[in-house]
Amino acid sequence: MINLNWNLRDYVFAAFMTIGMVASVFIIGPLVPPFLDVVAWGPVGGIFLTLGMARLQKRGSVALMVFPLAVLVIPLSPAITLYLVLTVLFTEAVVFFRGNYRLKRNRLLGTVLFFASAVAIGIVGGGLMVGDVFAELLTKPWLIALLSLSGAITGGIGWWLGENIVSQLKRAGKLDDDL
Amino acid sequence: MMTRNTIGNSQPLLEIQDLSFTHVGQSEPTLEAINLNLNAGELVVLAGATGSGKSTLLNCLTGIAPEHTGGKLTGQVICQGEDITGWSVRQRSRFMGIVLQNVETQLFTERVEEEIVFGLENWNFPPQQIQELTQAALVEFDLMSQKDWRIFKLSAGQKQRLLLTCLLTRHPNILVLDEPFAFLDTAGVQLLLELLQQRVKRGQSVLLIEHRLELLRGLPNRTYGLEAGCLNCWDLSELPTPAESLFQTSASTHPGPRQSNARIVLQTHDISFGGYPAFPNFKVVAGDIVLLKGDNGCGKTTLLKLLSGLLKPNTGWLEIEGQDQTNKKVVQIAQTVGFVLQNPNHQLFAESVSAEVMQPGVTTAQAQQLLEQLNLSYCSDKHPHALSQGQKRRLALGAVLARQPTICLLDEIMVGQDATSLELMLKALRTFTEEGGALIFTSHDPKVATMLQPHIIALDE
Repeated sequence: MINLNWNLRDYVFAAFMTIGMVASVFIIGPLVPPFLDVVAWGPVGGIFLTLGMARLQKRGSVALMVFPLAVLVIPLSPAITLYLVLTVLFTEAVVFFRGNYRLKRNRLLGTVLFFASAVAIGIVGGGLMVGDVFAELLTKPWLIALLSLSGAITGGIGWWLGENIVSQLKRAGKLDDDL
Repeated sequence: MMTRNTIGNSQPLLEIQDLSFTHVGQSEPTLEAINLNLNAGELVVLAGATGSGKSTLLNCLTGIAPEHTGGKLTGQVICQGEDITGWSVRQRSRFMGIVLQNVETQLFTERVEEEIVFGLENWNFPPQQIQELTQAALVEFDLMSQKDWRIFKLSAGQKQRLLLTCLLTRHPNILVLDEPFAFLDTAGVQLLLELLQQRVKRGQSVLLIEHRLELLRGLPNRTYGLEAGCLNCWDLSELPTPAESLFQTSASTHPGPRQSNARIVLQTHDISFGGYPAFPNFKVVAGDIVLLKGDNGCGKTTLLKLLSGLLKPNTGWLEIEGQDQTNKKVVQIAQTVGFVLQNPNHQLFAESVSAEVMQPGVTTAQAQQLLEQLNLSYCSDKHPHALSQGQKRRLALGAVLARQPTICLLDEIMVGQDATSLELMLKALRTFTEEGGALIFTSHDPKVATMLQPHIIALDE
């Protein structure tokens, strides 16, 4: 049974997961080319995303973790904000029709969708607004599809790692969740 | 046996009706159909074996379970006639204050005085009153000399004293205390007993979990034992009279080895650390049992950390098995010195109880024997962090003993143990020393000293 109301501990937990995602993207991002950062970030970002979904469980959990980040980056780049918002809306919209994040398979779906759509929306958005290497990628739809698939796979790896932590937490009685 | 008690015709302050609770991932309930009333001006004690669900019951009362822990709760909790079952911890805190078993989970600020002020500010006390209450509390709880201290510098006993200060300064109607005497020294225990008596006389109610029932003789209105998820009424007067305490006998500050030809395993030479007075020099021989005795904050834990290599002394040096340890790393020292920390959560890492003990070089038979010795074999597949605090301490001891260290250091690990578990633990330690291991420990529980008959090293504040 899920308590449908958000409470303070949900906000705090979501904030910690957001901090984890931001910290890891700042570490991993500079190590790879711009269009590969989400793919490279997937295994780490997926852990935080999965933990957040497993703990918060309700519809809107991904939005609660990522929207504050989208708001924070407005002064830096409205384009990144737009990209984050679209990615989250897409993920939440699909999972909305399947229930919530209490179920393991829904967490897998949410993570895979988040990373795959992040790559696709990022490249398309980047091509339209930034140009440069992103514009060049727009001429190669097969490459966008391949990168999205890679994002889904690396996000899936992050989900798998995250689920390992979730199962430990559940065995320790620290997390009430369906495995 | 279910118990329903109502004293007089007045409405109980707190009423628990048919409360059952099942932990996450468990099929059997930890608590089953609990009925209990707490009237104004009553002190009710809850006892029972380690892991029987006492802390779980307190968590259910205060709203921590299931809101923060998960699990399934049925039944009702009624406070002053109002059903509060669905209320949050915050809402319930209007009526009740709780001190949890783990002294590190309820401290939020950096300094002692700030911690007392923080609680009062959150309750919107007028600023002038906050100052008055804080100063009075610092004096009453003998924390004046530490009021500007950083909290992380406090000992467990001092932290427990601070938590009680914060709680008692606020005067909630119901005090829910989970082993509040665990880390307190003799003076702290006396002070708390007096304060609880005063509060009960004023009409506050106290629900108290305690294993050391001899401390409470004559105090509680009622005592319950929690067994197999159900409450049973206990009669404290039927408890055996506690044996004469070694703490009451004079302590030697420089005990010599028991046998002149015994092998010296540890020797200290003028070691000192931080703001503590220089620690006394002492020798420990194979098979020795040594108790570090002193009031809260006198440096017992610090000395154990120095002996384990976790801290390096400012002056002096340490010799283990004839070798100077000054330039040795902690991992090297850990090959001969095992250390069971005060907080067991800090040293349990494996995925199951059996895996925690099954370390390299430990056979399955040895591990099983240890778990049986410590009464943990029935939960060998459980996750270590799913155990009660008392069980975690036994497991941490098992994990250290499995490595067969030459010297075993124990920091207040006997707290939270029921009589049977304590006896098992002490038997395991006795076996360890009979096989040539040396034991150095801290404990405020006179029973432990009586049973182990240790050499005593007194530390002065």
